[in-house]
This record gives sequence, structure tokens and C-alpha cells, in this order.
Amino acid sequence: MEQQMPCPVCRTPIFFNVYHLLQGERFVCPNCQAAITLSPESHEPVQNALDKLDKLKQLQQK
Amino acid sequence: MENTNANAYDRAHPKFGAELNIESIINAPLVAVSKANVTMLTGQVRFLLDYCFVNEHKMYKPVMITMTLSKGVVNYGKQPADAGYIQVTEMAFQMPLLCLLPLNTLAIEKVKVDFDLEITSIGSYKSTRKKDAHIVARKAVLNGRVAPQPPRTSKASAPHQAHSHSHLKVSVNAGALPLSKGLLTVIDLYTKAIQPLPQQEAADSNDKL
Ligand SMILES: [Zn+2]
Repeated sequence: MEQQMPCPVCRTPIFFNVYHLLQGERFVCPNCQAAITLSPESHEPVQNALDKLDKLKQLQQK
Repeated sequence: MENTNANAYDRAHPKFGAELNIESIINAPLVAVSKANVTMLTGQVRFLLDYCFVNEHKMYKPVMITMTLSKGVVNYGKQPADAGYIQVTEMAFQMPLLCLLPLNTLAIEKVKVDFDLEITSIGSYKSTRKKDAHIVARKAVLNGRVAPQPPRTSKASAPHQAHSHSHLKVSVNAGALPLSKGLLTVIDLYTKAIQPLPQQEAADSNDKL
């Protein structure tokens, strides 16, 4: 699922994938070239929430 | 107590040929689907409240995630050929976890109820709604039984199987539906408020949260 957030500098939408963010990937604003990454301290809460969300989706698809 | 036993017996030994009200034949799968949808949506709301929000003094606050923004900035005090002409500055910004997660509403999108009904009796009852009373004095009740499934093979050895399966098919398609308007508004509100902060300020605002 493709997600987007506005670039904090110029508000142009930056498309990102949270799974790739977790792997340390940078996503670059197509307009001003600002790059966003996930801070190392945020890895754990994001990973935990994603694991729970994936579990929930799997349960619901059964 | 007797009723419960009778119910349990009905569920264990469904009578395919029994006469049923047409409304209940159509209602039953739809009620089951709406119950399934409620269960799925409740699970998702529970997830949002448990993992994306913190309940502080009876107020839900979003769990904030720190992100890093890096951008090359030209140092006009130097020549383009000099080292450090373009400096990469890093800033932190926070966004709610809610805006990072690939949320979508998984729910039952389509239900198809397919059956052949043999009408076995027609009845009527007096309309109880005052509004309808002067238009329709009595309402019709159709009773019928779900037609037996025609035998799949023409083999003479299996004619009894035709009566053990009824032609009532319910197909259900689950799909990802758009998020509710309320949740989209919350996400939109937070997303619009994303502003970068210098690293130190970000650390301070983290402490405040
Ligand atoms: Zn930008």
C-alpha cells in the first residue's frame, strides 16, 4: 500500500512505504530533494505497531 | 431450557426441506455478514486506540514518531568548488504513528445470496404501521422452502443426495474499503501540521510528550 506525507519543507507529497522506512530506506521529496528517514529510536514502536496490525489483518482475512 | 435444546438441535440437524419465511431466508446471511463486519471494525478501532493513542487523563493523545529530514543547503560564503559548499543539515520532525501505518478498513464488500425458492404458502397479516394502514391494509407473507440442489451427476446410484443439499449459496467478498471520514479527518489534520524542528528542539518536545 503506497502512502504519502507532505514534505515538511515544501509540502509536495512524498510517497513512502513504511516497511522500507523500517529497513532504513530514505524517501526523497521530488521537488526540493529533502530526504526523510525514520529515526533509530522510532524503529521499535513502529515495528511493534506494524506487527500487531499485520496480525489483525491476517486474523480478519481468515 | 427446552427452547435452547431445540435450537441446538435445529443447528445440528438443519432441515433443508422445512418451510421458512422468505424474509428469514434472505435476512440470515445478511445478519451474519453485518455481525462479521462489526467484529472486524471493532478489532481495528481497538488496535487504533491501543497502539496509536495514549490515554492520558481521559484524553487520547496520538503516539508520536520521530523522523529525520536531511537536506542539502548551499553555503554561499564558499565557492562551489570548495569542500562544504553544500552542507547537509538534519532536522527532526514528528508525526503521529497513525499517519505512518498502512491503515485500511478491511470489511465485507460484497455478499451474494443465491437461491431458488419454492413458494409453499402465502399468508398475510394486518399492517401495524399507521402510515401504511390507509394504503395497504394487509401485508403479504411468503413462505417457502429452498429448492433442492439438482443432482450433479445423472448416476442412478445417488438420487438421495439431491435432498441432502439445498440450493442456497452465499458468497462473501472481503475487500479493503476507504477509511472512515472521521479517521481520515484526524489523519489529515495531523499530516497538515507536520513541521520540521531543529534536532535539539525535537528532543525537547519529545520529553514534553
Ligand atoms: Zn520538498
